[in-house]
Amino acid sequence: MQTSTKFSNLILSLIFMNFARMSMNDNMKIVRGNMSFNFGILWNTFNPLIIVYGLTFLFAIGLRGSGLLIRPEFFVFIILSWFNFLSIIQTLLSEDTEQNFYKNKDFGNLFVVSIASVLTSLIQSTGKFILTILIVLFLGFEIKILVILTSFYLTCSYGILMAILIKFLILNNKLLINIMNYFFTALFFASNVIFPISIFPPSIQEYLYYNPLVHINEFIREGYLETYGGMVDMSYPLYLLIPLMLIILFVFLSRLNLILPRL
Amino acid sequence: MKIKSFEDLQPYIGNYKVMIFFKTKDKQFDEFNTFKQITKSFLFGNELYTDNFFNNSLSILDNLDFHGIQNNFEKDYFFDSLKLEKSEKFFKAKKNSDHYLWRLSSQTCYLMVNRHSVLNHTFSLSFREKEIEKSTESKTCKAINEFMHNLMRVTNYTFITKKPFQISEGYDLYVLYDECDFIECYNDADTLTHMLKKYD
Repeated sequence: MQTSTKFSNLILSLIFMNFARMSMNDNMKIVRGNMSFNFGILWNTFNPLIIVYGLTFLFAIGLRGSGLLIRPEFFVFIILSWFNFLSIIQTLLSEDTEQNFYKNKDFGNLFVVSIASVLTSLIQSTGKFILTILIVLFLGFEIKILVILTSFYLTCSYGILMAILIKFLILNNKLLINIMNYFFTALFFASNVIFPISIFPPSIQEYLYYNPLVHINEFIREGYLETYGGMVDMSYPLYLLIPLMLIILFVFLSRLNLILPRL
Repeated sequence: MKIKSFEDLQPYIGNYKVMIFFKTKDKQFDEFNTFKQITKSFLFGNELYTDNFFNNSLSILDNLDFHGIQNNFEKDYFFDSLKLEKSEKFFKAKKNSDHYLWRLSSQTCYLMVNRHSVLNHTFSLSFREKEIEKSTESKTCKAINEFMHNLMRVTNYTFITKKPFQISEGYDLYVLYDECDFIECYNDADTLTHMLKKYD
Protein backbone atom coordinates (compact mmCIF):
# COMPACT_ATOMS: atom_id res chain seq x y z
CA MET A 1 0.00 0.00 0.00
CA GLN A 2 1.26 3.47 -0.86
CA THR A 3 1.95 5.85 2.01
CA SER A 4 -0.78 8.26 0.88
CA THR A 5 -3.36 5.43 0.66
CA LYS A 6 -2.22 4.15 4.04
CA PHE A 7 -2.59 7.61 5.54
CA SER A 8 -6.06 8.22 4.07
CA ASN A 9 -7.20 4.74 5.17
CA LEU A 10 -5.94 5.47 8.63
CA ILE A 11 -7.81 8.77 8.83
CA LEU A 12 -10.97 7.10 7.48
CA SER A 13 -10.74 4.29 10.01
CA LEU A 14 -10.28 6.79 12.85
CA ILE A 15 -13.29 8.78 11.68
CA PHE A 16 -15.25 5.52 11.60
CA MET A 17 -14.05 4.79 15.12
CA ASN A 18 -15.06 8.25 16.35
CA PHE A 19 -18.60 7.65 15.10
CA ALA A 20 -18.70 4.08 16.45
CA ARG A 21 -17.63 5.38 19.88
CA MET A 22 -20.74 7.52 19.99
CA SER A 23 -22.68 4.42 21.04
CA MET A 24 -21.22 5.20 24.49
CA ASN A 25 -20.22 1.64 25.40
CA ASP A 26 -23.41 0.18 23.88
CA ASN A 27 -25.67 2.43 25.98
CA MET A 28 -26.91 4.18 22.85
CA LYS A 29 -27.23 1.23 20.56
CA ILE A 30 -30.06 -1.11 19.65
CA VAL A 31 -29.06 -4.65 18.64
CA ARG A 32 -31.59 -7.00 17.09
CA GLY A 33 -30.34 -10.26 15.62
CA ASN A 34 -27.56 -9.47 13.19
CA MET A 35 -28.49 -5.80 12.85
CA SER A 36 -27.56 -2.88 15.03
CA PHE A 37 -28.57 0.75 15.14
CA ASN A 38 -26.21 3.22 16.76
CA PHE A 39 -28.56 6.05 17.64
CA GLY A 40 -25.73 7.62 19.64
CA ILE A 41 -24.45 9.03 16.33
CA LEU A 42 -27.73 10.87 15.75
CA TRP A 43 -27.93 12.01 19.36
CA ASN A 44 -24.31 13.17 19.51
CA THR A 45 -24.64 15.01 16.19
CA PHE A 46 -27.99 16.67 16.60
CA ASN A 47 -28.45 17.20 20.36
CA PRO A 48 -26.82 20.69 20.32
CA LEU A 49 -29.66 21.73 18.00
CA ILE A 50 -32.07 21.54 20.96
CA ILE A 51 -30.21 24.48 22.56
CA VAL A 52 -29.78 26.24 19.20
CA TYR A 53 -33.47 26.05 18.33
CA GLY A 54 -34.53 26.75 21.93
CA LEU A 55 -32.44 29.92 22.12
CA THR A 56 -33.65 31.01 18.69
CA PHE A 57 -37.25 30.54 19.70
CA LEU A 58 -36.80 32.33 23.02
CA PHE A 59 -34.98 35.33 21.59
CA ALA A 60 -37.22 35.56 18.55
CA ILE A 61 -40.39 35.77 20.62
CA GLY A 62 -38.91 37.45 23.70
CA LEU A 63 -36.99 40.33 22.16
CA ARG A 64 -39.35 41.38 19.44
CA GLY A 65 -40.38 44.94 19.95
CA SER A 66 -37.37 45.60 22.20
CA GLY A 67 -35.62 47.49 19.43
CA LEU A 68 -33.10 44.69 18.80
CA LEU A 69 -33.45 43.11 15.41
CA ILE A 70 -33.46 39.39 16.14
CA ARG A 71 -35.01 37.46 13.34
CA PRO A 72 -35.07 33.67 13.68
CA GLU A 73 -33.94 33.02 10.09
CA PHE A 74 -30.49 34.50 10.67
CA PHE A 75 -30.26 34.22 14.44
CA VAL A 76 -30.43 30.42 14.20
CA PHE A 77 -27.38 30.35 11.90
CA ILE A 78 -25.37 32.66 14.16
CA ILE A 79 -26.03 30.42 17.16
CA LEU A 80 -25.39 27.29 15.08
CA SER A 81 -22.07 28.66 13.83
CA TRP A 82 -20.99 29.26 17.41
CA PHE A 83 -21.93 25.73 18.49
CA ASN A 84 -20.13 24.25 15.50
CA PHE A 85 -17.03 26.30 16.33
CA LEU A 86 -17.18 25.23 19.96
CA SER A 87 -17.84 21.54 19.33
CA ILE A 88 -14.91 21.23 16.90
CA ILE A 89 -12.58 22.67 19.54
CA GLN A 90 -13.99 20.83 22.55
CA THR A 91 -14.06 17.46 20.79
CA LEU A 92 -10.40 17.67 19.88
CA LEU A 93 -9.36 19.00 23.28
CA SER A 94 -11.08 16.07 24.98
CA GLU A 95 -9.31 13.54 22.74
CA ASP A 96 -6.88 11.65 24.95
CA THR A 97 -3.96 10.20 23.01
CA GLU A 98 -2.62 8.70 26.23
CA GLN A 99 -5.46 6.17 26.39
CA ASN A 100 -4.41 2.52 26.17
CA PHE A 101 -5.83 2.00 22.71
CA TYR A 102 -3.52 4.62 21.19
CA LYS A 103 -0.54 4.16 23.46
CA ASN A 104 1.27 1.30 21.72
CA LYS A 105 0.20 2.12 18.21
CA ASP A 106 2.53 3.85 15.78
CA PHE A 107 -0.41 5.79 14.37
CA GLY A 108 -1.60 6.89 17.82
CA ASN A 109 0.09 10.24 17.47
CA LEU A 110 -1.51 13.58 18.01
CA PHE A 111 -1.28 14.64 14.39
CA VAL A 112 -3.35 11.79 12.91
CA VAL A 113 -5.81 11.74 15.82
CA SER A 114 -6.33 15.52 15.52
CA ILE A 115 -7.02 15.37 11.78
CA ALA A 116 -9.55 12.56 12.30
CA SER A 117 -11.20 14.38 15.20
CA VAL A 118 -11.71 17.69 13.36
CA LEU A 119 -12.97 15.90 10.26
CA THR A 120 -15.49 13.96 12.37
CA SER A 121 -16.70 17.21 13.93
CA LEU A 122 -16.84 18.83 10.50
CA ILE A 123 -19.07 16.03 9.17
CA GLN A 124 -21.36 16.48 12.17
CA SER A 125 -21.39 20.26 11.74
CA THR A 126 -22.34 19.87 8.08
CA GLY A 127 -25.18 17.55 9.11
CA LYS A 128 -26.51 20.10 11.60
CA PHE A 129 -26.14 22.89 9.07
CA ILE A 130 -28.05 21.07 6.31
CA LEU A 131 -30.82 20.02 8.69
CA THR A 132 -31.22 23.61 9.88
CA ILE A 133 -31.40 24.92 6.30
CA LEU A 134 -34.13 22.36 5.56
CA ILE A 135 -36.08 23.31 8.67
CA VAL A 136 -35.79 27.05 7.92
CA LEU A 137 -36.94 26.42 4.34
CA PHE A 138 -39.78 24.21 5.57
CA LEU A 139 -40.96 26.98 7.88
CA GLY A 140 -41.01 29.37 4.94
CA PHE A 141 -38.28 31.76 6.08
CA GLU A 142 -35.83 33.45 3.76
CA ILE A 143 -32.44 31.77 3.16
CA LYS A 144 -29.45 33.79 1.99
CA ILE A 145 -27.35 30.84 1.00
CA LEU A 146 -24.16 32.72 0.12
CA VAL A 147 -24.17 34.56 3.44
CA ILE A 148 -24.72 31.49 5.58
CA LEU A 149 -22.35 29.29 3.57
CA THR A 150 -19.57 31.88 3.91
CA SER A 151 -20.09 32.13 7.64
CA PHE A 152 -20.35 28.34 8.02
CA TYR A 153 -17.07 27.65 6.25
CA LEU A 154 -15.23 30.51 7.93
CA THR A 155 -16.43 29.56 11.42
CA CYS A 156 -15.57 25.89 10.85
CA SER A 157 -12.15 26.90 9.51
CA TYR A 158 -11.52 28.90 12.66
CA GLY A 159 -12.77 26.01 14.78
CA ILE A 160 -10.44 23.56 13.05
CA LEU A 161 -7.37 25.80 13.14
CA MET A 162 -7.91 26.95 16.73
CA ALA A 163 -8.55 23.38 17.88
CA ILE A 164 -5.37 22.09 16.22
CA LEU A 165 -3.28 25.00 17.46
CA ILE A 166 -4.45 24.68 21.06
CA LYS A 167 -4.16 20.88 21.07
CA PHE A 168 -0.62 21.04 19.68
CA LEU A 169 0.28 23.58 22.35
CA ILE A 170 -1.32 22.07 25.43
CA LEU A 171 -1.32 18.37 24.39
CA ASN A 172 -3.10 16.27 27.04
CA ASN A 173 -2.69 18.67 29.96
CA LYS A 174 -6.03 18.33 31.79
CA LEU A 175 -5.74 21.64 33.68
CA LEU A 176 -5.03 23.65 30.53
CA ILE A 177 -7.83 21.85 28.69
CA ASN A 178 -10.27 22.95 31.40
CA ILE A 179 -8.95 26.51 31.32
CA MET A 180 -9.35 26.60 27.54
CA ASN A 181 -12.91 25.31 27.85
CA TYR A 182 -13.72 28.15 30.27
CA PHE A 183 -12.04 30.61 27.94
CA PHE A 184 -14.18 29.54 25.00
CA THR A 185 -17.34 29.69 27.09
CA ALA A 186 -16.42 33.28 27.96
CA LEU A 187 -15.64 34.02 24.31
CA PHE A 188 -19.32 33.44 23.58
CA PHE A 189 -20.08 36.82 25.13
CA ALA A 190 -17.28 38.53 23.22
CA SER A 191 -18.37 37.20 19.84
CA ASN A 192 -21.66 39.07 19.66
CA VAL A 193 -23.57 35.87 19.07
CA ILE A 194 -26.76 37.14 20.69
CA PHE A 195 -26.52 40.90 20.57
CA PRO A 196 -25.34 43.04 17.65
CA ILE A 197 -22.12 44.90 18.15
CA SER A 198 -23.92 48.24 17.91
CA ILE A 199 -25.33 47.90 21.43
CA PHE A 200 -21.84 47.90 22.98
CA PRO A 201 -20.15 51.21 23.91
CA PRO A 202 -17.63 52.38 21.26
CA SER A 203 -14.67 51.84 23.61
CA ILE A 204 -15.54 48.13 23.90
CA GLN A 205 -16.50 47.80 20.24
CA GLU A 206 -12.97 48.81 19.29
CA TYR A 207 -11.56 45.69 21.01
CA LEU A 208 -14.35 43.37 19.91
CA TYR A 209 -13.49 44.03 16.29
CA TYR A 210 -10.18 42.19 16.82
CA ASN A 211 -12.22 39.01 17.21
CA PRO A 212 -12.76 37.52 13.72
CA LEU A 213 -15.95 35.79 14.89
CA VAL A 214 -17.50 39.22 15.50
CA HIS A 215 -17.04 40.06 11.83
CA ILE A 216 -18.48 36.71 10.73
CA ASN A 217 -21.53 36.97 13.00
CA GLU A 218 -22.13 40.59 12.06
CA PHE A 219 -21.80 39.61 8.41
CA ILE A 220 -24.76 37.22 8.78
CA ARG A 221 -26.76 39.81 10.70
CA GLU A 222 -25.99 42.67 8.35
CA GLY A 223 -26.24 40.45 5.29
CA TYR A 224 -29.82 39.63 6.18
CA LEU A 225 -30.67 43.19 7.22
CA GLU A 226 -28.82 44.50 4.17
CA THR A 227 -26.81 46.98 6.22
CA TYR A 228 -23.38 45.44 5.56
CA GLY A 229 -20.53 47.91 5.78
CA GLY A 230 -18.83 50.14 8.35
CA MET A 231 -16.37 48.41 10.63
CA VAL A 232 -17.50 44.92 9.69
CA ASP A 233 -15.03 43.63 7.14
CA MET A 234 -15.04 40.04 5.92
CA SER A 235 -11.55 40.32 4.49
CA TYR A 236 -10.24 40.52 8.08
CA PRO A 237 -11.36 37.01 9.19
CA LEU A 238 -10.38 35.65 5.78
CA TYR A 239 -6.83 37.02 5.81
CA LEU A 240 -6.35 36.18 9.48
CA LEU A 241 -6.50 32.51 8.56
CA ILE A 242 -3.11 32.81 6.84
CA PRO A 243 -1.06 33.87 9.91
CA LEU A 244 -3.02 31.34 11.96
CA MET A 245 -1.95 28.56 9.58
CA LEU A 246 1.65 29.77 9.70
CA ILE A 247 1.59 29.74 13.51
CA ILE A 248 0.26 26.16 13.44
CA LEU A 249 3.04 25.17 11.05
CA PHE A 250 5.60 26.78 13.34
CA VAL A 251 4.18 25.05 16.44
CA PHE A 252 4.00 21.76 14.53
CA LEU A 253 7.64 21.94 13.49
CA SER A 254 8.89 23.11 16.86
CA ARG A 255 7.00 20.38 18.76
CA LEU A 256 7.42 17.62 16.20
CA ASN A 257 8.78 15.13 18.73
CA LEU A 258 5.65 15.56 20.88
CA ILE A 259 3.13 15.66 18.05
CA LEU A 260 4.66 12.79 16.10
CA PRO A 261 6.55 10.98 18.89
CA ARG A 262 6.95 7.68 17.06
CA LEU A 263 8.59 9.02 13.94
CA MET B 1 22.02 -19.19 7.84
CA LYS B 2 24.81 -16.95 9.02
CA ILE B 3 23.45 -14.09 11.01
CA LYS B 4 26.06 -12.06 12.74
CA SER B 5 24.21 -8.86 13.42
CA PHE B 6 20.69 -7.56 13.65
CA GLU B 7 21.04 -6.04 10.18
CA ASP B 8 21.54 -9.58 8.80
CA LEU B 9 18.40 -10.65 10.57
CA GLN B 10 16.09 -8.04 9.01
CA PRO B 11 15.20 -10.05 5.87
CA TYR B 12 14.19 -13.00 8.04
CA ILE B 13 11.62 -11.10 10.08
CA GLY B 14 8.28 -11.68 8.44
CA ASN B 15 9.61 -14.54 6.31
CA TYR B 16 10.33 -17.02 9.11
CA LYS B 17 8.94 -17.89 12.50
CA VAL B 18 11.31 -16.04 14.79
CA MET B 19 11.61 -15.96 18.57
CA ILE B 20 13.49 -13.03 20.05
CA PHE B 21 14.62 -13.50 23.62
CA PHE B 22 15.65 -10.45 25.63
CA LYS B 23 18.01 -11.50 28.40
CA THR B 24 17.67 -9.14 31.34
CA LYS B 25 17.82 -9.06 35.11
CA ASP B 26 15.79 -5.90 35.26
CA LYS B 27 12.17 -6.80 36.07
CA GLN B 28 11.00 -3.46 34.69
CA PHE B 29 12.70 -4.02 31.34
CA ASP B 30 10.21 -3.31 28.55
CA GLU B 31 10.89 -5.80 25.75
CA PHE B 32 7.93 -4.45 23.80
CA ASN B 33 9.29 -0.92 23.40
CA THR B 34 12.86 -2.18 23.01
CA PHE B 35 11.77 -4.28 20.05
CA LYS B 36 9.92 -1.29 18.61
CA GLN B 37 13.03 0.84 18.92
CA ILE B 38 15.40 -1.66 17.30
CA THR B 39 13.06 -2.40 14.41
CA LYS B 40 11.97 1.20 13.92
CA SER B 41 13.83 1.56 10.63
CA PHE B 42 12.01 -1.25 8.83
CA LEU B 43 8.91 -2.11 10.86
CA PHE B 44 7.54 1.38 11.49
CA GLY B 45 3.75 1.41 11.28
CA ASN B 46 3.56 -2.34 11.78
CA GLU B 47 1.51 -2.89 14.89
CA LEU B 48 2.61 -5.21 17.69
CA TYR B 49 -0.10 -7.27 19.30
CA THR B 50 -1.27 -6.06 22.73
CA ASP B 51 -4.42 -6.40 24.82
CA ASN B 52 -5.44 -3.06 23.37
CA PHE B 53 -5.35 -4.11 19.75
CA PHE B 54 -9.14 -3.85 19.94
CA ASN B 55 -10.70 -0.71 21.38
CA ASN B 56 -12.63 -1.81 24.47
CA SER B 57 -15.36 0.79 24.03
CA LEU B 58 -16.29 -0.50 20.57
CA SER B 59 -17.96 -3.76 19.62
CA ILE B 60 -16.06 -6.64 18.01
CA LEU B 61 -17.73 -5.83 14.72
CA ASP B 62 -16.74 -2.15 14.89
CA ASN B 63 -13.17 -3.14 15.74
CA LEU B 64 -13.06 -5.56 12.82
CA ASP B 65 -14.39 -2.82 10.52
CA PHE B 66 -11.91 -0.32 11.94
CA HIS B 67 -8.94 -2.59 11.15
CA GLY B 68 -10.52 -3.53 7.83
CA ILE B 69 -10.74 0.10 6.71
CA GLN B 70 -7.24 0.81 7.99
CA ASN B 71 -5.74 -2.08 6.04
CA ASN B 72 -7.89 -1.86 2.93
CA PHE B 73 -9.86 -5.05 3.50
CA GLU B 74 -13.34 -5.59 2.12
CA LYS B 75 -16.30 -5.24 4.46
CA ASP B 76 -17.10 -8.48 6.31
CA TYR B 77 -13.66 -9.91 5.43
CA PHE B 78 -13.58 -11.64 8.79
CA PHE B 79 -16.98 -13.32 8.49
CA ASP B 80 -16.44 -14.24 4.85
CA SER B 81 -13.04 -15.83 5.53
CA LEU B 82 -14.32 -17.77 8.53
CA LYS B 83 -17.73 -18.49 6.98
CA LEU B 84 -19.37 -17.27 10.16
CA GLU B 85 -22.74 -15.72 10.91
CA LYS B 86 -22.84 -12.51 12.94
CA SER B 87 -24.33 -13.14 16.35
CA GLU B 88 -25.49 -10.58 18.88
CA LYS B 89 -22.26 -10.77 20.93
CA PHE B 90 -20.31 -9.37 17.97
CA PHE B 91 -22.26 -6.13 18.33
CA LYS B 92 -21.38 -5.60 22.00
CA ALA B 93 -18.52 -3.68 23.60
CA LYS B 94 -15.99 -5.65 25.62
CA LYS B 95 -17.83 -5.50 28.95
CA ASN B 96 -21.02 -6.91 27.39
CA SER B 97 -19.39 -9.34 25.01
CA ASP B 98 -18.09 -12.85 25.55
CA HIS B 99 -14.52 -12.87 26.86
CA TYR B 100 -13.31 -15.75 24.68
CA LEU B 101 -15.06 -14.44 21.60
CA TRP B 102 -13.41 -11.07 22.16
CA ARG B 103 -9.91 -12.51 22.62
CA LEU B 104 -10.15 -14.93 19.72
CA SER B 105 -11.60 -12.33 17.36
CA SER B 106 -8.95 -9.81 18.35
CA GLN B 107 -6.06 -12.27 17.87
CA THR B 108 -7.40 -13.66 14.60
CA CYS B 109 -8.05 -10.18 13.24
CA TYR B 110 -4.48 -9.21 14.13
CA LEU B 111 -3.04 -12.17 12.24
CA MET B 112 -5.27 -11.42 9.26
CA VAL B 113 -4.58 -7.72 8.84
CA ASN B 114 -0.91 -7.33 9.77
CA ARG B 115 1.85 -7.94 7.28
CA HIS B 116 4.40 -8.81 9.96
CA SER B 117 2.84 -10.31 13.04
CA VAL B 118 4.76 -9.51 16.21
CA LEU B 119 3.45 -11.23 19.30
CA ASN B 120 4.27 -11.28 22.99
CA HIS B 121 2.86 -12.88 26.13
CA THR B 122 -0.47 -11.05 25.71
CA PHE B 123 -1.18 -13.26 22.69
CA SER B 124 -2.48 -16.70 23.71
CA LEU B 125 -0.89 -19.13 21.30
CA SER B 126 -3.39 -21.79 22.30
CA PHE B 127 -6.80 -21.90 23.93
CA ARG B 128 -7.87 -25.13 25.59
CA GLU B 129 -11.05 -26.77 24.29
CA LYS B 130 -12.41 -26.93 27.85
CA GLU B 131 -11.81 -23.22 28.30
CA ILE B 132 -13.68 -22.37 25.13
CA GLU B 133 -16.63 -24.55 26.16
CA LYS B 134 -17.21 -22.13 29.06
CA SER B 135 -18.01 -19.47 26.50
CA THR B 136 -21.59 -18.57 25.74
CA GLU B 137 -20.63 -18.66 22.08
CA SER B 138 -18.65 -21.88 22.22
CA LYS B 139 -19.52 -23.04 18.70
CA THR B 140 -18.39 -19.74 17.14
CA CYS B 141 -15.32 -19.63 19.39
CA LYS B 142 -14.29 -23.13 18.33
CA ALA B 143 -14.57 -22.15 14.68
CA ILE B 144 -12.46 -19.02 15.22
CA ASN B 145 -9.94 -20.97 17.30
CA GLU B 146 -9.52 -23.54 14.56
CA PHE B 147 -9.13 -20.84 11.93
CA MET B 148 -6.57 -19.02 14.10
CA HIS B 149 -4.53 -22.20 14.55
CA ASN B 150 -4.46 -22.85 10.83
CA LEU B 151 -3.52 -19.25 10.23
CA MET B 152 -0.69 -19.43 12.74
CA ARG B 153 0.65 -22.51 11.03
CA VAL B 154 0.98 -20.70 7.71
CA THR B 155 1.81 -17.23 9.05
CA ASN B 156 5.38 -16.26 9.80
CA TYR B 157 5.38 -14.34 13.03
CA THR B 158 7.90 -12.99 15.51
CA PHE B 159 7.46 -13.77 19.17
CA ILE B 160 9.22 -11.55 21.69
CA THR B 161 9.82 -12.55 25.28
CA LYS B 162 12.08 -12.04 28.27
CA LYS B 163 10.85 -15.06 30.24
CA PRO B 164 12.81 -18.33 29.79
CA PHE B 165 9.72 -20.53 30.38
CA GLN B 166 8.21 -19.10 27.18
CA ILE B 167 10.99 -20.55 25.04
CA SER B 168 9.46 -23.35 22.99
CA GLU B 169 10.02 -25.45 19.90
CA GLY B 170 8.49 -24.60 16.57
CA TYR B 171 10.46 -21.53 15.48
CA ASP B 172 12.88 -21.30 12.58
CA LEU B 173 15.16 -18.84 14.32
CA TYR B 174 15.97 -17.97 17.92
CA VAL B 175 17.58 -14.62 18.53
CA LEU B 176 19.26 -13.72 21.77
CA TYR B 177 19.53 -10.16 22.95
CA ASP B 178 21.26 -8.76 26.01
CA GLU B 179 18.67 -6.07 26.67
CA CYS B 180 19.22 -3.79 23.65
CA ASP B 181 22.34 -5.54 22.32
CA PHE B 182 22.24 -8.31 19.75
CA ILE B 183 24.20 -11.37 20.88
CA GLU B 184 23.58 -14.33 18.60
CA CYS B 185 21.12 -16.28 16.55
CA TYR B 186 20.34 -20.01 16.90
CA ASN B 187 18.40 -22.63 15.00
CA ASP B 188 16.74 -24.42 17.90
CA ALA B 189 15.28 -23.85 21.32
CA ASP B 190 17.72 -26.15 23.09
CA THR B 191 20.75 -24.17 21.94
CA LEU B 192 19.13 -20.94 23.08
CA THR B 193 18.37 -22.43 26.52
CA HIS B 194 21.90 -23.82 26.72
CA MET B 195 23.45 -20.48 25.74
CA LEU B 196 21.27 -18.67 28.24
CA LYS B 197 22.67 -20.84 31.05
CA LYS B 198 26.18 -20.13 29.76
CA TYR B 199 25.63 -16.37 29.83
CA ASP B 200 24.18 -16.57 33.34
